[in-house]
Amino acid sequence: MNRRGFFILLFLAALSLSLTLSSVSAGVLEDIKANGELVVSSDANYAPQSFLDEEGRLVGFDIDVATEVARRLGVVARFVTPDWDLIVAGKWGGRWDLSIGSMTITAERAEVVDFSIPYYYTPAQFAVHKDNKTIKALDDFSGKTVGLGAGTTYESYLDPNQTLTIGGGEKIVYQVKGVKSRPYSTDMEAVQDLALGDGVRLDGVLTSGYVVDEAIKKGVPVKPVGNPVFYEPLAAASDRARPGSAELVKKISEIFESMHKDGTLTKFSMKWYGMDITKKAR
Amino acid sequence: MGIFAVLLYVFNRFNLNFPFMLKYLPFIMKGVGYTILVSLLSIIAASILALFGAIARLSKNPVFYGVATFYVSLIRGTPLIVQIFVIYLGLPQMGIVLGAIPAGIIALGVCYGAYMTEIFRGGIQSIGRGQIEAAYSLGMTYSQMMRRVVLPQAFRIIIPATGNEFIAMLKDSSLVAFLGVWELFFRAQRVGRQNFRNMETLIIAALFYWIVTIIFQYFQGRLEAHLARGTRRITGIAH
Repeated sequence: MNRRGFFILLFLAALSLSLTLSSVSAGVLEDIKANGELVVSSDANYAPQSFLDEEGRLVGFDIDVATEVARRLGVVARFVTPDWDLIVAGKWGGRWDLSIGSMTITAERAEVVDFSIPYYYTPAQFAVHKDNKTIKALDDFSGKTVGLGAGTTYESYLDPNQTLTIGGGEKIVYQVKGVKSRPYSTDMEAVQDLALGDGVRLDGVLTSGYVVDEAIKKGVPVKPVGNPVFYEPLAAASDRARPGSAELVKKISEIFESMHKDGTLTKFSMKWYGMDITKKAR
Repeated sequence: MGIFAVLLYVFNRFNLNFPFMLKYLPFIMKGVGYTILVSLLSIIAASILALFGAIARLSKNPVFYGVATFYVSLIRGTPLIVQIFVIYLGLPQMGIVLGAIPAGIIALGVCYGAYMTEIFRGGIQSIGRGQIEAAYSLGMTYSQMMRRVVLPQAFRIIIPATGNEFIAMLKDSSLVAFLGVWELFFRAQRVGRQNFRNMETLIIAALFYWIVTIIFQYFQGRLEAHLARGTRRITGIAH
């Protein structure tokens, strides 16, 4: 029994290995063409960029963009929805080919992923509870507790030990100091915690201006404070560890270029945001 | 009934949006399939691991004993969520790329296998030495003795504890949501977050976990009654 048991285990181990060893090929672009599908990761937590409609289908701005990108590559898009932390960590192991998930271009992330050119821009916005009377300007946030999504640019922005370098290295002017940040698994939990009441758990949140807009639209008692603290260029990203990653994002950049030019991105932006946010702000 | 009234009162105080809950209930419910699938496959993997683990833990062979003891110690000593991420993120570095579901099943199976190794070991050890000697004296091999004498009796002791583990696993399967598996918890979280109504959707998910557990408990009770038939009759005669 002992010996046989050992061999059965060994056999099971070998079987699972042979089933899972992925075929290594020339490059990710070739893999996509060969499989006829572009596997896209998207963080399905944010309306209107990537969320679930009433029938539970994945829809949104990012989804439309990804579907169109796949079409222009001559393949179909398939979506996977891993946790945001897993997407920005890189080393995807070929489980998906591309992130079209509103990822901000930052120098830190560029160490693990290759970025395409931006396909749209989003403002980073502070917000407080509707009932708040004391925080009227950005410097009123000093010493306050602000909620945000873990692994987001907003977290890097408020972390004194990190320097946030976004996009083409535009200088970020720090208008707030001494803010205590409290990270949540997504921005949405932070917004909901702020909605409990002014100062109950949070004094404010720092998130995308569109998240704040969406919250207000859905009746969440929050209001924006001050002008956006920085603008983020959002791009597609590809796992640097994967062979052919650079070629893939080059191809994706070309597709974005044409989608900017022929108005496709503007069309999607109007459809989901009701305004054109595909042009560089400021 | 009173407790139920208290629960309803508390829910009322949560200020839940019931039309919203009804609207998304069918969508969240569809996650039950993945929850049960992941749990079932994981408990099967865990049982197989636990059987070998228990036999190895009882083995006189120092290598088998050492490996099994190390496995139980390491896995019981680390959090399941860490194991899930190690298997999902770590294995690809060794060239083994697992999808979200296989990674989740392996992690749950390996984790629960370690706990269940100890349950199985206890079950096997509870079978009297005399039974084993009797089996050997009838000329059975080790394998025959295990299969025909020890394990059938041990299962009676193992099953209730294993059922307990399965119930725990049903809920721990929610951790695979982090890998992007569309099970109950994942669906509840996505819908809740994007509508800023986490409370409503998490309550729906909790309700379904509870219902599945109740249904499972019913079948477990039947199975236990079935396995207990023999002993009950014997004790009946003895007294």
